[in-house]
Amino acid sequence: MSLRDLRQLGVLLPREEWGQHDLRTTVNKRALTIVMIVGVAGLTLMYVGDGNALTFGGVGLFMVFMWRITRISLAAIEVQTERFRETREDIRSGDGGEGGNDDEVRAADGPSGGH
Amino acid sequence: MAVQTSGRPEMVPAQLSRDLGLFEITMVGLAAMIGAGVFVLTGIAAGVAGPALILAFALNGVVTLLTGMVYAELGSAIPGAGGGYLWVRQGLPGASSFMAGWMDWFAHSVAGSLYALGFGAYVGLMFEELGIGYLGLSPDNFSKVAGVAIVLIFVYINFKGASETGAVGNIVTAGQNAIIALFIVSGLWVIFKQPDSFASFTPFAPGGMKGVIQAMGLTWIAFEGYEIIVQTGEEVKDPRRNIPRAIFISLVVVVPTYLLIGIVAIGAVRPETAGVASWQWLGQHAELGLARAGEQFMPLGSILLLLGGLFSTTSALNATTYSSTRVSFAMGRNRHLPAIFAAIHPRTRVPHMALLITGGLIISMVVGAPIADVGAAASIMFLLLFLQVNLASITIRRKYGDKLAHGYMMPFFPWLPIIAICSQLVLAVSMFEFSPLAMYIAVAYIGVGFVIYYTYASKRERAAQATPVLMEERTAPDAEGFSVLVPVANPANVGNLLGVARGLLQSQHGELRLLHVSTVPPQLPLSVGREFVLEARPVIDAAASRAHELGLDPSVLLRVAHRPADAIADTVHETGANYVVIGWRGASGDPRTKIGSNIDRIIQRANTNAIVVRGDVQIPARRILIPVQHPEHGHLMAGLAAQLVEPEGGYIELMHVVRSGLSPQERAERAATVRASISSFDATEQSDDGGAGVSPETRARRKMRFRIRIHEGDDVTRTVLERSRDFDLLIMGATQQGWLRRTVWGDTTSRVARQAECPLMLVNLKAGPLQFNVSQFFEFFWDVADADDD
Repeated sequence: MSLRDLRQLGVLLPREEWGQHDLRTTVNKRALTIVMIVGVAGLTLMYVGDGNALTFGGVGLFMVFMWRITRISLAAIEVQTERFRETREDIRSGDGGEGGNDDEVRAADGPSGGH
Repeated sequence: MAVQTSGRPEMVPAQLSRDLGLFEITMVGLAAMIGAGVFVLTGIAAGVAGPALILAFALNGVVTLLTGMVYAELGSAIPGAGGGYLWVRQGLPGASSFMAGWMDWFAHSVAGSLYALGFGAYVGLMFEELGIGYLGLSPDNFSKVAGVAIVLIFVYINFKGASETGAVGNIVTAGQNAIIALFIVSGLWVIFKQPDSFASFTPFAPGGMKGVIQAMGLTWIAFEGYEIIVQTGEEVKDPRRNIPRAIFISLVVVVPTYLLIGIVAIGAVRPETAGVASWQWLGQHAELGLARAGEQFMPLGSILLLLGGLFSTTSALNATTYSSTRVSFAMGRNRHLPAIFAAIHPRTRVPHMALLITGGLIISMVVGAPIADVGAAASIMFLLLFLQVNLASITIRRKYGDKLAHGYMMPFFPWLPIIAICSQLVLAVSMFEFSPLAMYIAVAYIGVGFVIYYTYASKRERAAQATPVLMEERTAPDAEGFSVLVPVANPANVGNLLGVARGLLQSQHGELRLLHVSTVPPQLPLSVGREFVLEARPVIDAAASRAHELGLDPSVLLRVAHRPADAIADTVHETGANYVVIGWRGASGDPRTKIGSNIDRIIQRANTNAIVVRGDVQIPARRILIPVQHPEHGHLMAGLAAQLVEPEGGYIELMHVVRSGLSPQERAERAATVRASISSFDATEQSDDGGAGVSPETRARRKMRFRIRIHEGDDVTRTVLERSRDFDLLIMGATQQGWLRRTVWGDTTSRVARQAECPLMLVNLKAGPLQFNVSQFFEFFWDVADADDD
């Protein structure tokens, strides 16, 4: 329950990088919100459809939801990896690497999961 | 005088080899999910939810996705063999981490025994089809024998190492997935060829939402495979990127697959009996429902589903054996279980003893446990484990988020884990209703876990984490009675602290312990501190000399720590010191602290009577002022002051501040209340003898005077400060901490302490064990933003 434990696990960042990396998610929240609405609509249709055509329409929407949310998440992992690398390079080159700089904000908002 | 030096070497943590790539760990997750769980549970769940089984699978997919995002964040930032157990250990206080590991180990082991028994049943079915029979055994006993055999085989395969485990798992998983794919394609072909098949889906939810939720709880075990993905963390190449990717890829395969299995099972089945709906037919066949369905519409259905059953149960057993072994290994490494669990085989680099013991646990349950209800209990355990992980994710992000390298960060923090927690609570409660026996098993197992934690694991955990002792000299090695601990760092104020300690020891015979802490910068290992022994020696020798001058014969102790507060708290815990007397130089200016970061931390971590001394305190003191807000505080503070006041001519004033305009009657009532607080001292308002906790000799020797004064003032702080100017010593304290937050000292006390000009003593009296533990638990969350605890 301490930084000592995390240090022993070898997962702590070097001290000079503490507080330098952006903690905002790289998941495209706008796209995610739309996809979640689709998912909720799918679940609702499944139940309301009572086993008729609407139920299967709901299943279809839910499949779309699963597919899109995975794409969005995988894209966010790539952006996160790239953002982390860039911030680290900035820190090591002495540029400070403030987590919330403009480039990173663009990177966070950039991909919509459509890779 | 006994001299003892000791030092705990810095432990080098055991490391596993990194052999697994994205494909391997994705297959591990798929094997754990698309396996025996869905084969065995689909029929039962259909009988509970009806065609809404599909909805149950979809909703489980959503809940799983929420927790999956949490797992993706934590698995990328803190990859480790313990998985959820490891994060709960980092993110939650007290027994939580032990219980998380305890439940995780049990849940996976029981799941493994379920799959082993399932394998045995399928082998029995195969032997029956081949005309071989059960070799003279009953079907149940045959299943058990075959189950034990397959467990032994997978223990051996796991012993061979991660690569071999992954290779075998890949083959098995690929085979089972092919059969399930054929099952789905065949079923869909039947459904679309016979349009009346869609009538099987009406009515959709005969059991209502209650049936849907119970089916969710029942089939939850089939969705927990990402727990196993993260447990491979220490054996994965590039875990920061690969673990979250594997979680999302496995979920996008698993959830739609389950939906299709549900659709096919409901839509393609033609019950032989008229008037029986397909979901009722599946429910009647229970755990064999899916296999019987496949026989109806799938080419070579009998043989293929037999093979599918064998594949799925073996791959799931492989994954759960792997997983439960890693959890017990991590618990051994963290000293929650005996060290033997942390042993790694020198050749295969596998935690072989954890594997053997876990194999034994699985076999014992295969042979002797009432497996169906224990299986339901395992689902409850998984739900409670994930609940804890979701909670831990919030504290880990807030405490350590800016110090970790994340490969993925969940969106909508912290609402996403909060919604997941609520969902899992609902499912766990629904499981309680589904199987009362499962509830009793779960509660009993958790109860046993708590007993083990408090009688064994917590002591080892504390011993492992305690700051090292570099040197100890005891004047009375066997003494275990009353003792006062005085940490010494600044020679200038040692006299003050020892004066207070002498006051305490005059009234009650006991031992004085002097402690000096050599601090080491956080970036250096504690072993470096050994080099500071020579530097520390003069400080502690000077303090010991001063104590001798005061007529005391102290024991001395030298520790090394990153933070002095940790060493002081460890010493209090180990020695059971009744009082700790700490020096305070004054307000630090840090708005996050009440008094000072070190003193605040000592109070939080050490449950003892703590006296903080600031200024030139002369003991015995002639005039002592005690501001009293609650009668009980007054009683305890007065008891302490009685030990410190000058025997002849000294007096103690208990002041109580009331708002302006109080009626004479109310003032009188307040005064009576405060007076009652010193009634046990046999004192009057003007003078009397004795005091609580004071020996008869001291009581006889002292002539104390108590005064009680009621002061009017709308600003309590200012009123106390003004009054304190006429006194030699101001004593303030708190004894009753709220359950929600253990207030070290209230705001008023803190303000007075920071501004008072006269010598000051702040007193925090020892709390009861339950109160202290509960307070520590909530304090952990309250102080979650203060991450500088290294």
